[in-house]
Amino acid sequence: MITLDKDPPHVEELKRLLPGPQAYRAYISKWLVNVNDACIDCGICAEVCPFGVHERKEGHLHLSAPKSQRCIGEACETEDFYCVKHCPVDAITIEKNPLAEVLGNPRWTNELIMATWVMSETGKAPERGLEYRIGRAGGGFDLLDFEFPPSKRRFDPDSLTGIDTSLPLNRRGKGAKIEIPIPWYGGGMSFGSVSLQIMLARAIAATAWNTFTSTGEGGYPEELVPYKDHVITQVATGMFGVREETVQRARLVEIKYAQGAKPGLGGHLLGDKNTPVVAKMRETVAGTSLFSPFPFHSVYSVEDHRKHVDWIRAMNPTALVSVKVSTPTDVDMVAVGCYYAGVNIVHLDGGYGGTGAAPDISKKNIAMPIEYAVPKVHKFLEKEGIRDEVLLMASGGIRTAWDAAKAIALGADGVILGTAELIAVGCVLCGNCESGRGCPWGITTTDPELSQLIPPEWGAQRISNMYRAWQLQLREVLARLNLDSVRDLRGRTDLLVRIPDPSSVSGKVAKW
Amino acid sequence: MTFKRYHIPIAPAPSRRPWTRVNVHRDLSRCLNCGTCIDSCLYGVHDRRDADTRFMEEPEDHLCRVCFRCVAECPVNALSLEPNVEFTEAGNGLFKPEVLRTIANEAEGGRIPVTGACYRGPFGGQGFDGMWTDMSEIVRPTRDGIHGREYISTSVDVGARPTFLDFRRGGPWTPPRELPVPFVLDVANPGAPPAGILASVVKAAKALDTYAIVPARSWPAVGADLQGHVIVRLSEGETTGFEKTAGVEATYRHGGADLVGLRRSLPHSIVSLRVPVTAYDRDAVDMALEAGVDLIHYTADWKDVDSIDGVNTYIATLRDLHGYLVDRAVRDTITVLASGPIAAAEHVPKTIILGADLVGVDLALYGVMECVPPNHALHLGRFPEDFPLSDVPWGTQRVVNLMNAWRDQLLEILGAMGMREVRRLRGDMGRAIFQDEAEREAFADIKVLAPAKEVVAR
Ligand code: SF4
Ligand code: SF4
Repeated sequence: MITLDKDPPHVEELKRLLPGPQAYRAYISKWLVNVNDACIDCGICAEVCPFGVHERKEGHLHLSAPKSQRCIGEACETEDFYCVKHCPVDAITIEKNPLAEVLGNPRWTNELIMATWVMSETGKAPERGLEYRIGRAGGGFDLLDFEFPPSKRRFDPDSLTGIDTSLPLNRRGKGAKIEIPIPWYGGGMSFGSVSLQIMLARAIAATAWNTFTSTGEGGYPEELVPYKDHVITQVATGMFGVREETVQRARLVEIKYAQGAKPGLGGHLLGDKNTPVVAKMRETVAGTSLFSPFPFHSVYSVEDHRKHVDWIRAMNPTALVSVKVSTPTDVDMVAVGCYYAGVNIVHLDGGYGGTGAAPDISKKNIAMPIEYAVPKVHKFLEKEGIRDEVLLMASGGIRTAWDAAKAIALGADGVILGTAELIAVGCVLCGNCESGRGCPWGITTTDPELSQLIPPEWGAQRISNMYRAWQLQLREVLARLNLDSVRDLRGRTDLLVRIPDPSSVSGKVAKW
Repeated sequence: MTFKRYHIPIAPAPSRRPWTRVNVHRDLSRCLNCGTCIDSCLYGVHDRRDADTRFMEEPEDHLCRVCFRCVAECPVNALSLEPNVEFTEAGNGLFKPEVLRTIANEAEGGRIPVTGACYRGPFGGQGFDGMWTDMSEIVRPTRDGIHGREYISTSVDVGARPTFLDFRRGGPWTPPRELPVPFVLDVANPGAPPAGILASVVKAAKALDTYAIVPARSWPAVGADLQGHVIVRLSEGETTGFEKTAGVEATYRHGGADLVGLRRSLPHSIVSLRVPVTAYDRDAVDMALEAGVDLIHYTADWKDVDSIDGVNTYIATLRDLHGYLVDRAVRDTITVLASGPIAAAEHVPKTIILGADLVGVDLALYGVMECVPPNHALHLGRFPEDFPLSDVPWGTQRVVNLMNAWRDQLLEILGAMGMREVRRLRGDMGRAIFQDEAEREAFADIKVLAPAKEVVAR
């Protein structure tokens, strides 16, 4: 049982944006600012730098070590405030950080990762120097952009509060009316694949923002019950820890057929991570590898699927039902089937996301990316005349607020986040989540010692800050497109343009 | 007859020169020798010196998993990670550094590579990268996902499945041979392999119950007990003396090669026609059909598939070959073996979807033997210092492990599609999503910006 050090931050308090500093003393930054021994502690640099790289703490004789993570690097060379120019003894040098070169990959570039960290710390997009909107994967979202009408207005994100980013989750005539103030919620990450601390952090953040997070398929830890109004109970093929009361306490129940990172394969928890606590939650034997079967062995047709939905409704008549599917070629048919089975939310999970262990071969090669699936389903549902009765949520590779906006413009109503939230709490995408004791940063681990590295309140603050930064960016996009509400962006492919591939990614791509 | 489940005997065969992705650099002028990094690293990269525990030992870079934790926790910023140029510069267009590392890992333990966190590579691309395989969401009752995969068959047939009796072989019909895996090991391209590699590959072919294709020059070195697992690639003019082999392979030349004679002289062996992508034309197919050979071995030299254009041509040609056979309504009378650009497990199902019955593994075998970069060694006709390989059991095990890992990954793909046998995947292009088609459909109504524009609009 985890006890929080203090009461979970109050909603308003979290939104008030407390800084969520990085947990460790050293940052991984794009630039490295060095001050050598020649420094005479004159403090000129601290005066000129507008970003706060150099600083003399109140009453200190020496300047603090430079905060390289705030430096905008090369872009500063032409500025008047360039500290290197001002230093009377030429003690400052700025170079590219070799560390940054080994961080990230074409999809999650080092700059996207670092920018997410900045957002989690400050609640704002990085000011300059980090590309925070687009990656370098050479396709999909990375080759889509918005075509903004020319405007002289400056968009101050803080003044755009009039722009509506809320999303109703129930489009049908009957059932509970739930509205979330931001068009995204957290995707399923099971207890076992992530630590309880992370689940708590996500649940606290979801509560603060009045949105949702999902239990994933590993059961519903008691610690989450205080946040139950914002926790989705996932019913997955393994049925781990699915019990009547867990279905009954949820406002939103998610039936998971497949997941993007391993479409058609079912979940997989390696034996090492199946600790006694996890095993108890999942009602299994500790130390064994746990496979969720694929698929549901009670579902062989759309009719069977309907029975599943009815079964959930029988237990919990007021709950909204979401169905999580991955993206085969007939995903449009699947979505229509889901609609007729009576679900409220169709959740498409594309292959490029995923946070747990997955065979590498399944990450890229099975089922289509979300960028193709969303327009396909959106158009098909429109043709069938049922588009406005279901909510279409997209996940699997939504990295930034800009990806989210593009997914919505392609036809989704909103998006579901996974990896981005983990990066907010310090994930470096090293991919060691499943080996031995699990994540060295204490994120995707069940190791009792490692998981202590993430205090839930801190994690919640980081996630909340990122949400805030995303909301600001989304509002800015909407404002620049002259839209008042995110609901008006849906399916507006006319606002998108395809940009030519800026950097060919064939050739040598180090994918760490 | 007793039923024996096909099983590949995997065992650890550790790499001798493990890939080092990054250099872990400790700035000795800053290091306090405090030992914080020893606790930070879960993988044992950092340690104190045995001889003098006051000081830190050089980091063991090859164990580093690039998690950055030691870097972040070092109290004086003394640690840094830098890309290891030897790694990032290794390989070629087909065998990129990560591909080589994956091969090495697979050869080491025979397991499916599994990692956490999301997909890290490029969005799509050309060649095989522009293809996704399908999956099925709700499946038929026969399907049992990961638990049922032992019931998925990876067997393929080599030889005709004739629709009527065929007496051209001058005797009773020889039924097609069944291979339990859709892999053939090909060391006949482009030169004769060194003895150690030859022995390892042929032994592995036996262990896997498949065939190795070896050049005629190497044939005398193959032991009597292994001859039944060898297909000999003939040089010009050779035709006799290969009765004990599983089969022979002639190389296609326009208007050349007496295939009919070869077929006659070896009625019960596999006869294969090797057709390099550069020499392919439909005449080659006609010639193979005419002579009634068992196999068309469609292949490419590494130089021809080193560029993405090369792979595109390869794929287009393979589709043509398969399509032509289908059009002539003779697809089941001949087996298509495709080799050349097969560098990773995902290429196996994709090549089969494009129309091959089975794939040939060639340069990847040199990757298994840590011959790096594989193409250079072959191109220059020489191998690194420690070759020819002397530890044949090690080499054999590495090949066996790789093939097990690839088979298991094939099972994953088949499982996801709800398919029960790989035979049915052949040429099933409806099971693939091609990037250009998918993109055309999905982004049809989105304006394309002229390339002139600056990278990304602010
Ligand atoms: S192991 Fe690496 S990739 Fe996985 S959650 Fe931790 S930091 Fe992220
Ligand atoms: S980066 Fe991670 S794996 Fe590499 S040496 Fe440091 S702590 Fe160990």
